[in-house]
Amino acid sequence: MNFRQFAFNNVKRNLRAYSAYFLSSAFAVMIFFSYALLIYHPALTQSQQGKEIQIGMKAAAYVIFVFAFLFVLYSISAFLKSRNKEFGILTILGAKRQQINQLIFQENILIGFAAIVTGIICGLACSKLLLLYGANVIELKLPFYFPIKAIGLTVVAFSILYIVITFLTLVFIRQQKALELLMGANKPKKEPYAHILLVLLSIGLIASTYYVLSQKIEKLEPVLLALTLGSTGTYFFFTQFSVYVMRLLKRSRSFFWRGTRMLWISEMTYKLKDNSRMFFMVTIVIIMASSAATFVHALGYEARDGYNETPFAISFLSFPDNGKKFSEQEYKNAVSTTKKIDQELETAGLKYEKAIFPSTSLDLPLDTFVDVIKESDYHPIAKSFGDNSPKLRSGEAILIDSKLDQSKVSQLGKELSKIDLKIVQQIDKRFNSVQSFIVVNDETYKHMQMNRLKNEDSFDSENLHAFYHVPDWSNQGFPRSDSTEAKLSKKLGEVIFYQDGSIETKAGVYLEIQERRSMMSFIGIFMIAVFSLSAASFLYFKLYTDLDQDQRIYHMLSRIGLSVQEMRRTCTIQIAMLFFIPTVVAGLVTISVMQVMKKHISDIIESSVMLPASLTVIVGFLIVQTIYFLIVRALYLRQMDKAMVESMH
Amino acid sequence: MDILKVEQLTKVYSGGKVTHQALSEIDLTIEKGEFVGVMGPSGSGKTTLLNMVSTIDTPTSGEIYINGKKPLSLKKNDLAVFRRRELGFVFQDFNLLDTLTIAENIVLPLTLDTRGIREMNQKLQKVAEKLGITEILKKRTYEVSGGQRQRAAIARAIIHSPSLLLADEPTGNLDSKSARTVMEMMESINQTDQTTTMLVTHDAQAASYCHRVVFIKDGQLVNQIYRGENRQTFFQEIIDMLSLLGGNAHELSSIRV
Repeated sequence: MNFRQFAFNNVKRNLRAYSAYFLSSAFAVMIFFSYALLIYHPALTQSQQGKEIQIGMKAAAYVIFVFAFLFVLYSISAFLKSRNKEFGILTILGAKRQQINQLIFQENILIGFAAIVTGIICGLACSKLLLLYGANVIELKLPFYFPIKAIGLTVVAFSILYIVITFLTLVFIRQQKALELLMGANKPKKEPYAHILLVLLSIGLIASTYYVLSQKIEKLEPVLLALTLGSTGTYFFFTQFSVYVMRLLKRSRSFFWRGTRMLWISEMTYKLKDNSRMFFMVTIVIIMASSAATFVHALGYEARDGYNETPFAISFLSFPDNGKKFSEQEYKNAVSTTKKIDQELETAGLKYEKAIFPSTSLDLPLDTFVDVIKESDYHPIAKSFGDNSPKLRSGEAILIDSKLDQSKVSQLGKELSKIDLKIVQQIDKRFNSVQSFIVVNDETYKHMQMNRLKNEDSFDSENLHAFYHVPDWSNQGFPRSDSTEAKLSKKLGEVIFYQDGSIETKAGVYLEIQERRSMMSFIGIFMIAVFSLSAASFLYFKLYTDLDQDQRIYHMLSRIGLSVQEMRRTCTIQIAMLFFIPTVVAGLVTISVMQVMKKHISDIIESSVMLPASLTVIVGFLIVQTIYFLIVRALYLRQMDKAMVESMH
Repeated sequence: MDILKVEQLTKVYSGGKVTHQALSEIDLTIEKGEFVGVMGPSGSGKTTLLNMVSTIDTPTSGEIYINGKKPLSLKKNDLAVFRRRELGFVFQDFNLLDTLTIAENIVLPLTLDTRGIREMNQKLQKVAEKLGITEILKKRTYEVSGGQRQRAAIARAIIHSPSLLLADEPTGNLDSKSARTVMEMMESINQTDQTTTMLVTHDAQAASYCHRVVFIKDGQLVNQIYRGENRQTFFQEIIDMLSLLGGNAHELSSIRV
C-alpha cells in the first residue's frame, strides 16, 4: 500500500466522518451552480428586464461565492480538528510532515473533485424546478438548456477555491505540535472566560451602532461605520456576553444544581464559546437576508396600500408652458387630450365618472409637490374619499394624502401657516402617487390664484387635472397583469404623448412596484433559502463533528442513571439554543435596525409598513428554522439514543 | 441480608452464525457490608457479569436481585432511577465531565434526582472530607491528578449512599501510590459506611483489599478465597490462584508493594 492508496482508503473507509464535510461542500457547489445556470440563461441575457435581474444575480453570486469560501473553510477546519489524534498518531509513527501534508492535500482534492461533480449533477437535476419557479416569479419563459458556461464557471471557481483552501489548511496544521495533535479532542478544554470590560464593550458598540444609524445619513461612510461597529459588537456579544450570562447562571447553586440543568448549562457554556464565531456569521447572514426580505416585503405592502388608497383608476395632469397660466389654446388641447381617455374607456365598454379641474401648485421648500384645489371642485368627488365635505372657512385646509408620515405633515403644516393656511382635517387617501392635495374654500383659492398671477417672484404654477373613477374596476381586488384594467392602463400610457401631459393609472403604479418587487424577491428568496439552509447545515455539521464525544459522555451518564427522557430534554435544549439564539438575536436586530432606518427610506416606503413587514419576515424565518431544528434534532437524538445503555438490550 | 443475589445467570452472545457463551449458570451472593472482588483472565466473563449487575446488559437466562428488587423487570425510566439511587459506579477511566468542577461532578447524581441544595451541600462536604478532596472541590478535572480524579469519581459514586458500589478496574489507570490510596479509601468506606462493594479487577494488589475474591474462568465460577488476618498473605494467595487458573502471566499487573 503506497501513500496515495492510504489516502484514498482513508476517505473510502471513514465515510461517516467525511460525509458531513463532503455534503456541505457539495451543497455550496450546487447553490453556486444554480445561480450560474440562471445568470447565463439565454432568455434572460436577451430581455431588458432580464438584464436588471442579472445584475442583481451577479451581485448575489459574489456573495454566495464568498459565503461558500467561508463555509468550506470553516467545515474543513472543524473536520481537521476532529482528526487531530489521527495526525498525532501518524506523526508518532514517523510520518514526515511532508507526508501528512500530502495526505491532507490528496484528500481535499479528492473530496473537492467529488463535491464539484456531485454539486453540478444535483444542480442540473434541480434546474428544471428552479427554472419553472423563476419563470413563474418573473413572468418570462425560461426553457431548459444545457448550461456549458455555468458548468465551466462553477468548475473553475471551485477548483480555485479548493486549492486555496487546501494551502490554507496546511498552514493551520503546521502550527501544531505532535503532542498537541495526539491529545486532540481528549485534552480537556479550559473553561471559557469572559471579561467584564469586553462584555461592556459589546453593549457599548451595539448602542453606538444604533446611535450612528439614527443620525442623518447622507454619505456612505456612516453606513460603513455602523456596519463595522455592529459586526464587532455582535462578535463580542457572542464570544463574551453570552459566556458571561452563562457564568452568572452557574453562580446560583439553587438554580444551577437542579436536575439536568447543571448538565446543559455547563455544556452550553462550552458550546457557546466553541460556536460563537459560527453564531456570529450566521447572525450576520440572517440579518442581511431578513433586512433584504423586509424591504421586499414592505414594497408589497406599499403597492397594495397605494392601490387601496387611490379611489381614481386614472389620473391625468397637464400644465402650461409658462407654468403660470394656461393660454386658451393650451387649455383646449388639454381638455381634448382627456377626450382620448374617454374614448378608450368607451371603446372598452366601461362606464366612468370624470372630474376635471384646475389646481395651483405651491412652490414650497419641501421634497413633495403640493397642489391646491378649490372646495367647489372637490365637493362632487368628496364621497370617493369617504368625506362628507364640510364647509370650509377662509384659511382652513383639508390635506388629502396617505404618503406623508407624521413629521412631514407637521413640516407641511408649518409651511402652510406662513401663507395663513391651517390643516383642519387629513384624509388618508390619495389622488395619485406623486402629489399631495390641499382643499381650500373658493375665496382662499381665488386669493392664491391672484397672488400667483400678480406676484412676479412667485414660482407657484397652474395645473389641470382629470380623474376617472371606473366602477367596474373597484371592488375586484388587486389587478393581475392580464386583467382588462392592467391592459387598458398600459394602452393609455401609449395613447397619451408626454408633451400632452402625464397620465398615471393606479393599476400601472401597482404593477410597476410589483414587478420591481418580484425581481427583488426572486433574488431575495433564493438568497434567504441559501442562507438559512447554510446556517442549518453549519449547525448540523458542528453537532456531527462533536457527536462521538457527546455519545461518550451520554453513555457514561446513562450508566450512572440518566434516563432517556432526561437525555432527550438536555439535548433538545442545547440544539434549540444553537438554532434559535442566532435567529432570535438576528430577528431583534433586524426589527430594531429597520425601525431606526425607516425614516431614511420613507421616500420609497411608508414607515408604518416596516414593522409588520419585518415581523412577517422574522416569523417566516423562525418557521423555517424550526423545521430545520426538528429535523436535526431527530437525526441527533437517533444517534444519541444509541449511546444510551437501555438501547443496548 | 443479601444485597446482591445472582441466580443461574447465563449470557449467550449470538452474532450470526457464531454463538459465544460468555457466562454459564453463575450463582453469586454478596451480603450487606461485604467487599467482594471478581477476578479472572481476559475474556473470562467478568465484565459481562458486571454489566449485567449494572443493569446495562440483560442476561439470556437467570435472575438478578439487588437489595431485594429485580431490576430486570423494571421499565426503562424506572431503571434509570433505580441506577441513580441504588447503584454507584467507579470506572477505570474516571468518566468525570470536563465541563463541570469537581464539586459539580460529585453532586451530579443528586441533582439528577432534584434534591435540595442544603442536603447536597451537606453530603458533598461529608463525602469530600472522607476522601480527602475538600481542597480541590472548586478545581476543574484537568487541574487535578489521576488519583484525585478517581477519588472524586468514588465520591460521586457514594454520595447518594447506594446499596451497591460497583467498581470496574478502578486502579487500572493509576500509578501504584495512587492505586494504594484509592484502595485504602474504598476499604475505609466499606468499613465505616458498610457500603457493599463489588470490585472487578486484574490487579491482585487491589483485590487483596477485599474480604473475598471470586474467580471466573470461561464464564464459570471456579473458586473463591477469603481473606484472613493478613492482607499480604491474602495477596500471595490470590497470585497463586491466578497462576493455578493459568491465565497468561502478562495479563496480570506487575506486583506492586
